[in-house]
Amino acid sequence: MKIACISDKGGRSALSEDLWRKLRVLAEARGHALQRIELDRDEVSSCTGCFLCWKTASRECVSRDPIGNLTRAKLDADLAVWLAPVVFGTASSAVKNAMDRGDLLWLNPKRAAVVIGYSEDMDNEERSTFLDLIRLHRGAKDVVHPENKEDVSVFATRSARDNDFICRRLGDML
Amino acid sequence: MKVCFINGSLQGEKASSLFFLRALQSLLDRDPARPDIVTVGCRTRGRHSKEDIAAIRSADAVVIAFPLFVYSLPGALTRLLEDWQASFADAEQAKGAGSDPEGARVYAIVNCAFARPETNREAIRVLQNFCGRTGQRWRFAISIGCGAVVVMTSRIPVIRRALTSALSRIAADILGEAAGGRETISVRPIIPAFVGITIRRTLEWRAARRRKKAARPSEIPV
Repeated sequence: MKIACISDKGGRSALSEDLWRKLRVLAEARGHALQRIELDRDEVSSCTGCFLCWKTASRECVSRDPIGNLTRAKLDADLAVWLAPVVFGTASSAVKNAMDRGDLLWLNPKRAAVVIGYSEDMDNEERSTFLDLIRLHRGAKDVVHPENKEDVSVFATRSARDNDFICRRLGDML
Repeated sequence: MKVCFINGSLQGEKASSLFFLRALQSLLDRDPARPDIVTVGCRTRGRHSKEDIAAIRSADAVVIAFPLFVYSLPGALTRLLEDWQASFADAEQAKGAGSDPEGARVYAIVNCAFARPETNREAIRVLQNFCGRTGQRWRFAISIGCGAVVVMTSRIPVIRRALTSALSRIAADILGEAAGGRETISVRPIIPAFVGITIRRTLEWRAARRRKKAARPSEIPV
């Protein structure tokens, strides 16, 4: 299985690197190929809402930046893992820009997605907001679009112990 | 009373968010000071300009209007909030220079493409979290379903009344004339839900048909 891990370069922390290390060990142990795609907040532009990615056959983004290139390169992965620093209960701007524009990254029915939010000082309300953002609007439990058949799992981590738990759960999934 | 509007949409003059802010501005005309309008940037290297952050930091009331992107704030607006938060750390380092003693009152006008305004709930929670973290005073939000339809039908008296009434609550609260609650105000289009769903499905079907015919965006000359 090919796994693409999309993360925020500027949002690296001891927690995220610990998680990345554990994910890499897990993927190697299971014989999966793991690729890390790091986004720099200064290099990615925001979605302008032109809807060309929705209207056209290729579902590419017209912007010439790393995310646009990613959509043009056709992400060749069976599983997309989003490593998102959590700010105020949502993903950091770099990852959020990718989520906003990555129609291709999100909405490939053949590809599963895992979203992992991390922050050492995330409070309970921020954690709950982040989980609800994905749980209520994405995946099998979608309450807004019950017909939506996306396969999305979400986790939030505040410590190395949480990372161990997430990797165990991912190990069951892989 | 200094008011700052944040337009969280990148759609320029066409933005529904800007329409709502201008409608609010017309209700604030009794206030002699005109609000500053800060618009988020598509691609920002480094941080947002010092002028933008200063305009936000110096305001007594901040109204944030934005479209719902993937059920949350647009990435561009998230970035502005990150820069706003970072400016507090900078001010603390500069021994409190320019720090806000009390924090601004924060209001939100969220519009989504879905018929149900409840879809905006998590985005509003994100703004509440932001206020909690940075010491701003959260007031309340207007949650709008089918934002573009509400703008298009805003000349219909029923819609205009609902929208004006909601915006008037913000205006009155900013001017200190309100005694209303702080619950979210929902504004929805008057079209029945099944009509909205039919329109959406028709548009999706047309988009899917166009996808088969249309050129790849990478082939469109820049």
